[in-house]
Amino acid sequence: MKRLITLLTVIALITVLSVAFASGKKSEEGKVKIAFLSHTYEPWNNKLQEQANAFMEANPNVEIEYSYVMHADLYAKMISSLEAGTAANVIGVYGPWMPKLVNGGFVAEAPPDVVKDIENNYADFGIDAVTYNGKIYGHIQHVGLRTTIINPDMFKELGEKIPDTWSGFAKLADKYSHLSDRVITALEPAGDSVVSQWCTLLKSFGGEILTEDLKRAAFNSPEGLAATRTYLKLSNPAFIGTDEVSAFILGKAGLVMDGPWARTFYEDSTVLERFYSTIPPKEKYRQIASYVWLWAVNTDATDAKKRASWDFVQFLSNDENYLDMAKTIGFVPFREANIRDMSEDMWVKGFAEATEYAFIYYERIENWEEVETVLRRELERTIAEEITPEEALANAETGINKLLQ
Amino acid sequence: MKPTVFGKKVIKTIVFIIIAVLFLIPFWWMIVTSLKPPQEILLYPPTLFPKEINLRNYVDIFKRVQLITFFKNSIIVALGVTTVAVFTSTIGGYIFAKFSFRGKNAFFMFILSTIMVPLTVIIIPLYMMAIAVGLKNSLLALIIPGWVNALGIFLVRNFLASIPDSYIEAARIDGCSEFMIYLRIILPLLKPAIAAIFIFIFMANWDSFFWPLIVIDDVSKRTLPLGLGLFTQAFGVQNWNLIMSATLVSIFPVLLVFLFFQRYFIKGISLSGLKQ
Amino acid sequence: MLTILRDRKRRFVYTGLAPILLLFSLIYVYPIFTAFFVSLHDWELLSKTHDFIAFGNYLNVLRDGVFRRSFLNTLYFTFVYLFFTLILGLGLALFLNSLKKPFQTILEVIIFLPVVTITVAGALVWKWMYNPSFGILNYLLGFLGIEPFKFLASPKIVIPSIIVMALWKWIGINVIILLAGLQSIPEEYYEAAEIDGGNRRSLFVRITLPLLKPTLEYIFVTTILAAMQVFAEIFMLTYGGPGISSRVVAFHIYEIGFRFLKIGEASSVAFILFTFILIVTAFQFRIFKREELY
Repeated sequence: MKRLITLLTVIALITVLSVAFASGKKSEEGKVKIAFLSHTYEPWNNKLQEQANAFMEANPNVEIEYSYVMHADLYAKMISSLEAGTAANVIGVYGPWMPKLVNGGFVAEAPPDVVKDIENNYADFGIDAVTYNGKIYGHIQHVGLRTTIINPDMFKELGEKIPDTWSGFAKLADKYSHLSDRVITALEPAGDSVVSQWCTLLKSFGGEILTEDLKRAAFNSPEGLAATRTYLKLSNPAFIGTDEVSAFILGKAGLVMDGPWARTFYEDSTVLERFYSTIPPKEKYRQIASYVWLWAVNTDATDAKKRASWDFVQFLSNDENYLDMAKTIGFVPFREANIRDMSEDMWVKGFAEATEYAFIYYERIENWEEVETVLRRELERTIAEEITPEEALANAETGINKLLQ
Repeated sequence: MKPTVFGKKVIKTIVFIIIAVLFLIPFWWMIVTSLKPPQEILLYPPTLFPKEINLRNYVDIFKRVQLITFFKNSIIVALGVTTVAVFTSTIGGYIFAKFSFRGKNAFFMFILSTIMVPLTVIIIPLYMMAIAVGLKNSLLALIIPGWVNALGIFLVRNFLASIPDSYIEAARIDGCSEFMIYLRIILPLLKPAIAAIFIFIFMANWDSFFWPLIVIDDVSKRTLPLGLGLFTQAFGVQNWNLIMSATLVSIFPVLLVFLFFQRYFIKGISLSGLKQ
Repeated sequence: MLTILRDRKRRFVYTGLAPILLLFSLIYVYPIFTAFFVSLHDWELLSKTHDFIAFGNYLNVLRDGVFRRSFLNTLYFTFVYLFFTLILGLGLALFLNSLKKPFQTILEVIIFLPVVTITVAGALVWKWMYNPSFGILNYLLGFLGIEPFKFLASPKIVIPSIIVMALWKWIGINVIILLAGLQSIPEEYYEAAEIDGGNRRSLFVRITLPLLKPTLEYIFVTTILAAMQVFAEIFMLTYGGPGISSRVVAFHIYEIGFRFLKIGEASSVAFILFTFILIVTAFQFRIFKREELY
């Protein structure tokens, strides 16, 4: 028995020590090793690995190690690894985080060849999206916009015309609120995209998120209240904790807002017969809240690593690879060549048309994450019927003004 | 009218069954859900038994979620902690039980007081320390903090308090070195305590979530709770069958071990509670 | 000869105790002081400078409605959970004690089964059972003629729903401890009291409860310590939602400290929690000590 214990202890200690050594990175002779970090989204992660493999084949002296974390954890992981000096070389960065990274000197300006490619091939909206303090800091990874997706059969069944205004949908939602097995619209009641969907309505109603000088909240206004009240009608607290998109896929909702990357979910549905993406409804304006994800390069690395990183980013973003990505995953095309090539794709068509009404919904302040968290919290509370929309907007305003001073 | 003996037995049996059912329902539902195909998950009212047994989920889940890697990491961490913790607890407990020295009581109170220190207070400094020594994102950061355990020391001390000193003194006079006494005499005596400590430290570590959540970045280094929890956040409603199969696979090994060794588990827990 | 033995003993004590005390200091003592130090500064993980602001963080936190709500939620969770774990735990232990051997072990094992499953797994299955649209709990409740609940989607009953899950998961531990406590009461005490003419209820109150006191106190202290720091269950079941209805202090620390990286503020939250736990524990010891005098 004693021998067994000693044996086990020795084995355990050996395991521990070997793990400790394994944790250190061993780099092979002559190869440039770059670490690549993105967030989790299974089909996209697989595609990126494929493209990374292709890059490594074409560039045998570069080794790419790819890892990914959940969207909700990416920010903290990125920041803490930057602090610890263990950050990846190529990082998928969410637009709102760039001000902090740029101001802190953590990400590198794009080299001239990359800048040229961007200036020649991006639509204006795209060039603006990757420019901070007048300099270009990366390639667009993808443009996120959630536009409306319609299930026309539900409206046909009810004998209703599909409205073209948010209030129109709200009226229908009221009219058919007695139906227990379906909803007219299913905007997100709780989760990551509540704020962006709400911002779409806010701007559509003519409201603003922050004042021009970015010092105060501007959404606690008549427009903001109208937008919030309408949002309450278009979302359903019963979907909290589950998935309103699933309701749509099962044919139980007439409208949902989602992004182009979700195409496989919809196409795999065995129930939904017809559906299409379309430009958003109008209220006062036609507006779609959107955002970008960028590929940025870490400054804390050797020149060889940085050059390899930019080469890899350039590779991922060239016409051919980006088109491949857009077609399989369903990204919005924004490179001139891609827009031409994809105009025939039914799924992408609505999104491509919606880009005309796109606006970046996050402000370029360093603590946008916290601002968005406050907004999201109060919106979730009023959707869950815990507080009134007036209270939600007032609470959010107080909280955000404190953050902005 | 006094209840008959038979009547009492019937009531007892009914209560027994109700309690057993209440505790087992989640497990049964886990199994049932994991065997359903995606379309059947979304039926309401839900079917109480799968219409068709669908074992494909179990194959799929290994392809989509790196359960084996998570298992491996959890075992490395849990063993790495528990073996050393048993060692420190037994030596520490022995010293406090059988030796006297200046400040002994103060030190013992000091060690005992660490039980009251909440994880939430020390977690931020530990995080800063891990970053500073370059152990962020390393399994060692999960292992080292567990190497000393106040409860373990306490248990061993209590256990040894009732062992007469004469035995030990005799061995000393015979010329045994202190370490040999510890190894040859004390450790074998401590077998039940060691089993108890091993089990509860292993279990606590196996289930640890908050600390690994903030320390580990790479998917390949995640422990089981972390891997299971974070991955399932990504799946939509129609994937609950997959989530449930992943869950079942994750808990199955420990459940099996528990069922075989339940006597030791239960004895161990009751030992830790008796603070006589 | 004796001096050699004494020297050897002393050496053993020093070499044995030194690494242990070192590790304890490293893992518990140093961090407490560091946490306090950090909490007195405006400290963000990525910034280069940390301004000393004394108790500024503490004031901000105490004024913050979100923190106050988190704290109240935590108190609500802790004390309701404590109440039920004691009552139900004792009830289950008494019932188990009245069963004969094979059945007692079987039920023991069943009750303890959730304890050995990982918390994340338990949370996932309960999240699925609580699902307002497809979950089985509403369906089963329907058989009893009860209206469906929104469970985790309702700001009002989300915390009770979490408490139910936590009880299922953890009560096994307390049941086993209480059972051991019950079984350690010698039969003679009961026999003597019965001769004195006691019925079952008075036996329970005059013998069982007093002798179980140490065990109950132990459960009291450990449960409060654990419940006030509940995290994994909240993270997996509701992520603090809906809104902030199930947000607890540990989650607040996680969000402020590790998502927004404001570790100064997060440390002050942790210290406020720590202070509260210390006060409650000291208070408990005061009460228990007084009663033991009898």
